Amino acid sequence: MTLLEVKDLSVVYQTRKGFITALNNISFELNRGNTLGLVGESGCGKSTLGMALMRLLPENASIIKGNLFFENQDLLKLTDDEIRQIRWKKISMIFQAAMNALNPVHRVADQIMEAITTHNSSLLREAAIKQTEKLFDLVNIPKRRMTEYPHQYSGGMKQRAVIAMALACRPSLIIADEPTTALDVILQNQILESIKLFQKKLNLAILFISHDIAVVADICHDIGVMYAGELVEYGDREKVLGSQVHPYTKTLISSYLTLIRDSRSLKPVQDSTTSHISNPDLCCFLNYCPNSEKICRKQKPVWVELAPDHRVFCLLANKIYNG
Amino acid sequence: MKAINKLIVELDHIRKVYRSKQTFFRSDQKKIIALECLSMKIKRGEILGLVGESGSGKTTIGRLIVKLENPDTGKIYLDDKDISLLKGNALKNFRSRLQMIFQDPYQSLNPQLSVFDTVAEPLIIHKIGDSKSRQNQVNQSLELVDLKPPGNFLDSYPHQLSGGQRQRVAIARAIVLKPEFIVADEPTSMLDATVQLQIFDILLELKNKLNITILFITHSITAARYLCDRIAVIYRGHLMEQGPAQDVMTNPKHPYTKALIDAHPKFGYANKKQYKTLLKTQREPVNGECCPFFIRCEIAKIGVCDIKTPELKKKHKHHSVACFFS
Repeated sequence: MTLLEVKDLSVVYQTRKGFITALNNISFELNRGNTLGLVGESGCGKSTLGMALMRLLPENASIIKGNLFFENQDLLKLTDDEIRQIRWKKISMIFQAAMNALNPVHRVADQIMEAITTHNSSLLREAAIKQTEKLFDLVNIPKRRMTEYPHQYSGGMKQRAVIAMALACRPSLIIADEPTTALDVILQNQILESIKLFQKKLNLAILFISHDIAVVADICHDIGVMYAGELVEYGDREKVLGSQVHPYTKTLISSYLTLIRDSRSLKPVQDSTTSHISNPDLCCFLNYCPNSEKICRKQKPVWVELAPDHRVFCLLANKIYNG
Repeated sequence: MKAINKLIVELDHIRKVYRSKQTFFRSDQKKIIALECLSMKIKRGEILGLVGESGSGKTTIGRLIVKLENPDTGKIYLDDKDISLLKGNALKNFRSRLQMIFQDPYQSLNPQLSVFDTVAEPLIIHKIGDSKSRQNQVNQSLELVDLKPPGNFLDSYPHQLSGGQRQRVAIARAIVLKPEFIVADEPTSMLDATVQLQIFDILLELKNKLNITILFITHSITAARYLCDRIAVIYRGHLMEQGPAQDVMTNPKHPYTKALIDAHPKFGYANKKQYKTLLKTQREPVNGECCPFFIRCEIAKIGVCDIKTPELKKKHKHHSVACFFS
């Protein structure tokens, strides 16, 4: 069952140098209980997408095209009051810097309770406390630490508290924007395990935004690869990682270091930000693509469906796929 | 071969304790032990990877070696000379031989200085060359870090550069004095995976072309594997394991090293845990002497690990481990 459908979403930022396209014709679907991983370099627009879904884009950004259907209603057509009913109650977010996401002058439990009571004002205090206790259990923080302040928590515990807060109102969709980026590997592993666990328990849909393709490969069912504001490959995890059709997906995977020392021969790509694209009518990866051919300089790529759950935004997709 | 076996830096039983400030309202001083009796040797011309989680004391080691801080007890030697005795000109000379690359290229560059001024600043401070030869030296080091042609970058300011370019400017600044030793403190943790590889290749080139010794501080065990000749694993200020990169990665001895390797996402395949050495719930901490990893260690035995701190012992020719059960 489709929970979230993003259709042709385009977002631009207004800057002193003119408009910058942050997202260009992004389309995908997310089913209930599924995890979709969006992966790409910094500046490719993945956080903008998360913010657009929460309708929390900064003032200089505007959505110029597209629809966001959540449970069959268009999020972009809702009034501010209506979106406030959905925000956090049905769609919540785990922010990138957990260290700064908590208010330092309030107890952690109070902050989580605040999230619960704001969206459910009829709830009694005792019931809210009970619910908060359950959340602490779920994310594996001992109850005796409920009354402590954020500075008494370690980095991993703060991140888990932020996750508990995102789960407070039993949302059906969570947007996780680089939830483990600031943590070291052991903590990262623990957080990923707990995300997997509560996802199963609560049948949550998660949109997981990260620049680390290994993390995405670990936790997500589907993967969307983004480059310079465009989705370039989308599909089932095994198919995307297994076939590596789009040249950018391939570069991204090959620049990831594994414990086996065979990646010495691989050449990294140049930095990518939207400003690098010379011609918006052509492929966004053209300038750095090792496979590009004549046809790539003539027309915009089209979506090529290689399997029902695997599509690639590349003119040469079939050629590369068939070897 | 003789040259590579010569030591360049030696740490001898270093202990470093940070104390919280005493204030009018708080007279109790909190002590945080960053490093405890740590000894380490770094050979000339090698890249040594220092791996550990946040708060393990790895950055402190880097700062002690370049003398940004002084140890509480213990000695640090550069070419058999105790660096704590250095003063005046000798200290200045010492600083030109050791350089540091910091973690965050967004904060380590002065936003008001152009690339040329940034890279030329060490030359001016150490009064090396005249303005013409400085220009040459700056160009040379920019080329070494792959900012080509240098002319395109000389007049840029940090805000005009991408993260990867900034970090390369920071590296150029570190190598312009032709140092013998560089401390690179997580130089790529702020950068994307694709840019990270470029920086690694530059560091490898520095080692091969200029024979610079590098202490590479990182929390990523794969980065250490890719770049380093030797790896030292550090946990809560204790050295847990050290040896050739190949040996430590393929045949880890210490349960903490194994936990680090386990925690690393296994690309695309359901988590295959090889070692399982990390406890799900931590043990209660022990007062007094114990193995630093005791509270999280799966294989620890009560009566052994909670009464004594294991010492670093040689297991193979170059591979040593601090664990009773390795």
